[in-house]
Amino acid sequence: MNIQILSLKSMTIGILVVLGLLSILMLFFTTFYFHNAALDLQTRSLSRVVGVASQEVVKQIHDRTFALGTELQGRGGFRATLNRLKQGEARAEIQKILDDTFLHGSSDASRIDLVKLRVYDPDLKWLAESSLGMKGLSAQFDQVLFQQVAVRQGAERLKALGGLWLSSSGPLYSILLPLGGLKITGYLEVVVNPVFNLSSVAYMTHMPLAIYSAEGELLYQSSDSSGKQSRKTLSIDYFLRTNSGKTAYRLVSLDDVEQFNLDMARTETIAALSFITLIALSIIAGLRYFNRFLFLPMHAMQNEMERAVKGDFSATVGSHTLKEFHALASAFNIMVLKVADNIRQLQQLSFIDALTGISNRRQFDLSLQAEWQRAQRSRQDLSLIMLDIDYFKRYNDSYGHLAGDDCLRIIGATLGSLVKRSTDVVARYGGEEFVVLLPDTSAQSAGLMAKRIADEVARLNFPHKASPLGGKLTVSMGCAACKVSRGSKPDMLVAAADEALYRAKGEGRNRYVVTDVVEPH
Amino acid sequence: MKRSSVVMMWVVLGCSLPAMAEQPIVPAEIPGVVKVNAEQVVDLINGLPGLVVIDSRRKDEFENGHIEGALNITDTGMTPARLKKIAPRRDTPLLFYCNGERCQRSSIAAKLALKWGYGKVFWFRGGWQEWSAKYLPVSR
Repeated sequence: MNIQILSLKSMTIGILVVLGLLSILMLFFTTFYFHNAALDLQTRSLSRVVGVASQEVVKQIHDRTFALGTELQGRGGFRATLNRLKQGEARAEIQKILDDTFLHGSSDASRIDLVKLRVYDPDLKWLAESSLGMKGLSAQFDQVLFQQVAVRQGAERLKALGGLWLSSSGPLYSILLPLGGLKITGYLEVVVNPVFNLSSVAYMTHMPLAIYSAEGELLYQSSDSSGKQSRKTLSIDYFLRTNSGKTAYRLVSLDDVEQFNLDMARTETIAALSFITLIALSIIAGLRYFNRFLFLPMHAMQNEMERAVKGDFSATVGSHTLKEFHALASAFNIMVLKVADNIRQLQQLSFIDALTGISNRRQFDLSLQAEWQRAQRSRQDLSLIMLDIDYFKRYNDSYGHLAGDDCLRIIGATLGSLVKRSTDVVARYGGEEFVVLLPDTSAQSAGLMAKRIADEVARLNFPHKASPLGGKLTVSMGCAACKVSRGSKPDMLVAAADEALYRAKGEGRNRYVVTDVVEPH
Repeated sequence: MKRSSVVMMWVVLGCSLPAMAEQPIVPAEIPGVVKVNAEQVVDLINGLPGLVVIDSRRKDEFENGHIEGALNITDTGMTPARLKKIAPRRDTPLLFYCNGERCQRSSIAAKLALKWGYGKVFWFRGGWQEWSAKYLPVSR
């Protein structure tokens, strides 16, 4: 991927947008799990409700069967008949008493689905049972319950025990009541079908109910129960178990969760809108922040860099930005200052004569051009002195080139010390030739300056043994002055000064010749 | 005192009265009386000859179901003469019970028996509530 096509701004926006989209995705992902967790919690809570209701119904069954058994053994003649039964008599009589409960009922019998009544001796040996009720229950009993009753001792033996068990016809509830009051003469087993009472779980929980056997057979279904789970209903399963721990019933309650789903959907929508708004505001605020403290300073820095590339080193980058760009801007500003300084130094070096330290030919040409134009505007005089060291070749031959260099430096320094005005220019013209450009100076004044130069060189009393002019260093000078007019060129002044120098040399050297240039019209 | 404050005080007092009424008021123990539970009652009946079990509840409550062999004498109906009639000797063991922990009748009756010189007094504090909850035999 060509990363260079991406700008910092577009990449920042892209990252923020991707983060926003990921956040929204996470929101929906989290909401989905939150919805499921809420449904699970609801299911567990309602399962406990169904469980409590079911256990309460089982207790009701226990209470009612206990009351029925108590009422039955309180009937006149029951105990006496039972005693006779144990002696092998009165089986028909006891069966009639038991059947009467089915035929005539009682307040307790009407509130349970009585299946069978059976009588046992104190050792839990079967004695008699009702002929009415469920058929085919003979020899079927809750072995666990009987075992629990058989092993009890003391006062515990007097307590009525009950529980669910599985018969061949399905789950049943049995209770074993001691007969004979505080001295056990036998046991009465009351067997009921609990489905009759368990159906009231629907009324207790205000939820449609279906009851299934362990094999999945539908045993009861409330009128408002379709038995099927839909998106608007929540299925709650609760298992009722026998004394031996096997599943006797599966109770399925259906809770209407339409309102719950609506509430959840509303909550999810509000949360999603709030989250999206928050993300949008965050992106806008982030972009404004980045724009102010990152993108705009970077753009300004780019512009300033482009200006610097074009040679404008006056520009500095504003550093009111983030930490990293503040450091970058400061470094850039320092760099620009240093580059400008280096360039200035290089420029200075390019206009200075390396040997003598005074202006070189290039600087002189520029100065002459500038002063020429200025003189054109001001119509003032411009003078030029051209100087040549007499017999300099001989000086080099006599003293060596290093000494010759020293000689050039001394002459340059002497000229520099004599020129006081800031507009005057002293330059090395080439070899042993020097020039002095004197703006706003007449030929007469230029001549005076030439005289001062000659005097100063003479005062130096610089030895030049190879010179035929007294063994001292001397110079020849040509002075030219003119009033500059439009259309004229500075070369004319240089040529005039050169010609005057030539004349000075021709006249014997160690002198100066002044010429006033008259421009041709 | 402002009228609103007085009204508020009566409201608070009114709300607290039902709560006070539901507090158990029978003592946890009666000095000189042996407190027993349902299983111990069965053991006493089967193992202590001459034990007189006295049901201190109302008659209708007694007739609805009671411990086998119990006599129905309410605390208010119990006099030294009547008690002496059913328990002539002061060393006759007596067992009192009523409805349960919120019923004062048996505790009052037990205290009276103690006061009248009976030395073997038992008190079934859980009463009929505990007996029924344990599905022990009910006599009618």
